[in-house]
Amino acid sequence: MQQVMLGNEAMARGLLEKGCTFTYAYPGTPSSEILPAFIQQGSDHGVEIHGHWSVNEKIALESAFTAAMTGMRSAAVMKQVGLNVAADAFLSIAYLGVSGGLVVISADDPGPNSSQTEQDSRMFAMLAKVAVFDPATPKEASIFAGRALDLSEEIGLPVMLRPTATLCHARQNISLNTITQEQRKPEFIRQPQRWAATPKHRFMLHQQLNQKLLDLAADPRFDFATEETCQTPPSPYGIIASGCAWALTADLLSSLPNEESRQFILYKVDLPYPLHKKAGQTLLARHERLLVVEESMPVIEYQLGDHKNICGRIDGTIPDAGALNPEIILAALYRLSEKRSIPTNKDNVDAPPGKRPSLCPGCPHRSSFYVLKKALPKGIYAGDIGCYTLGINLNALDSCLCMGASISQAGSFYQTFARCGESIPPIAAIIGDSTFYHSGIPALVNARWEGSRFVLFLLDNSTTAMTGNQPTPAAGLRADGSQGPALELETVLKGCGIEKITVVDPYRQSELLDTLKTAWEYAQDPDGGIAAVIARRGCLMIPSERKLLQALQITITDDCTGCGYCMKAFECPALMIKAKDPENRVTIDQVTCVGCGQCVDICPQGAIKIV
Amino acid sequence: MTNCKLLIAGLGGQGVVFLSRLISQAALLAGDDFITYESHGMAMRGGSVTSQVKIGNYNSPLIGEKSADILLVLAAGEYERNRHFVRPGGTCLVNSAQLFADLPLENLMAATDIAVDHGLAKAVNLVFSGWAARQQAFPYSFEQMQEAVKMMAVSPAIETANLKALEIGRQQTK
Repeated sequence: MQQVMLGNEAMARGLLEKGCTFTYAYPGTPSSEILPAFIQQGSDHGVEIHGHWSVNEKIALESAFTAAMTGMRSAAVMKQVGLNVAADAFLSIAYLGVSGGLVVISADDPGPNSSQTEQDSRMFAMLAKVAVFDPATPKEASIFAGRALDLSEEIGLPVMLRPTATLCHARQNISLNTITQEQRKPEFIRQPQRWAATPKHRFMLHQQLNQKLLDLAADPRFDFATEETCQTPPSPYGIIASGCAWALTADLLSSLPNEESRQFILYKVDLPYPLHKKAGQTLLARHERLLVVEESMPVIEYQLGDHKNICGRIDGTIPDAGALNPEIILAALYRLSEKRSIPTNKDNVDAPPGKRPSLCPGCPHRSSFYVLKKALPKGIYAGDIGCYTLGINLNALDSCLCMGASISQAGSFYQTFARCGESIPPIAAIIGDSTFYHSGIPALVNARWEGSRFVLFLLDNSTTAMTGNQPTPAAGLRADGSQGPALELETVLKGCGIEKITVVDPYRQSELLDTLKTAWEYAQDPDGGIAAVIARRGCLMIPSERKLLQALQITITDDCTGCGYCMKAFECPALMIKAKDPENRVTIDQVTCVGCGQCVDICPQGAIKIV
Repeated sequence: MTNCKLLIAGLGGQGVVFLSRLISQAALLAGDDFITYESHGMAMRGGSVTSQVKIGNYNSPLIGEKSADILLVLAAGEYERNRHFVRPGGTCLVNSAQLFADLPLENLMAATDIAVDHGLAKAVNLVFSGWAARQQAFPYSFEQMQEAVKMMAVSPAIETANLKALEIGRQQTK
């Protein structure tokens, strides 16, 4: 049977078809749909499985690893920067190995489209000495998820599956295999020398790991230069590619006229690390020149060694930043075949920039940022990762480093000014509820311990909005829809020793303004401390929240002078300049407007009115 | 076997992704192989969004410059940003109430105005695709798109509303 599947759904399918019973994940674009698909498809087939949104990626990996210690098959799923969070566990697990198959899916985001970095998880796998598959299409990702589980169990090591965004969010028609109930039961065999290895044993484990990697690099299943693929007449130019970069190259070659495309032979690498050793040597001997096409770092290229006759990322044939596209690969082919005249296309140079992303109409964060700027003028606004990173559009966000860093940074901004005897500007840490649970809590414990003072501005929309509204521990709802114990933000804050906590609805702008001002006063008071302000209102992308909203009819009166203040300071997508208006006056786009009424009080002329 | 590369452009929230899924569903019903790509995450917050649909024997969903057979534009402002992807002789179909110097009138349709007039402001994408499906370059027939809408509907009410929007689009074709 054929079905349309998103790459992420296809990977979940591949896991289920091969008896993966436990999947742990933290949401992050482009990986977020894998866990829900795992739970949904498992439930559709009536198999007993467990899928859970872990509080962060490190916990997800530790949980999946532990299931694999007992001989069960498991998966840990995250985006590439999530692997950074899980790094401590990841590098250690490679030494310890597993009993049941363990797949680590780390989804990369070349571009980047929705991430802080363009890092290559395959490079991370190389650092950790973990074998990694690089699938090219959703179809193949489904198969490779299963291959990775099988290989992991066979060699007793974790195996990574590394998709990129282009694959995660590709949809394809896929033929499905059956999903059956896995019959194995967990069994924990005590091996303290392995599972709790001391440095002496770690050295032995490291040697064993190295031997297994050498065996893999000689394994004929991963030979990418087999005779079979090389029956075409010899050509001076070979192209080695893996994953989505292979898919792009293959499509490009098939679109070229025959006399051009037959100059090149394309080889496909399934397992970029450890790279099959003999295959690399064979191709270096067979071709005058080789081009390596891979995303986003030169993992295969480094392993090939001899760089004299190889072009790719290292010699600059392919740019070392940004996502690949057909034009880049075409230019690389010209370089490879030493044609000097690279065809250029000037059309796109004139293409105007796209519309930048913006907070949704009705988003409660919009008021939070608007009021924050008024309450703490000339402040330092330490931001964090989530929808609210878009606070930068409202000029109310000064930093965005990584998950949870808003709190560490607010604390350190305070210490830096306070210790150097400078006057301390108003400081706020702006963090969402899900990010706070992910890694804000240790930072808060630290900041209070160090004696830092700032306003902790928690934007609580009761969900992980940016990645598609996954639940958070606050309400206790789990990934499979079951209800767990709720853990309110207030409880956590009190437990972290925060004594001043105020909850306010951000739609009530004047109340929020007073609350934030009072909070900063408290932070400056000798008897005060960190003041938490929870701006609590649900994300309107959640259908139940949307239903609760009593929509108002908003209009703009003739008092509008076209000053543009509302569009700049509030930037709601529903505020737009009237067509063909010489004074650039503003109107409400009634299709986009959700009627939240947040904009009513912001117009200096009072021109925004409720009908 | 159909062979067609479509690029769909619009703004986050306009249903660009839904439209690409609808066309894929039509491809599935027709027994064609296909691969598509859609934007997720940050880009979905009202920013410029594109979806790419390649029907035929392809491995990558990405469409290169000057190679799309059809460009479907849901927000007129996105036309200029994407027209260089269309191959010579390809077709651009644009939801626009205004004219473009480089496009014939019959390639334009004011889908937003029409949808709003019919109280279907949220179904601009369907009104537009009902019209687009009647154009010669479009890979599937109106009837095939109707079937796809039925397959994708999550409730009878949504099916009825979506079919109505599609039909209103179709009626705009002389």
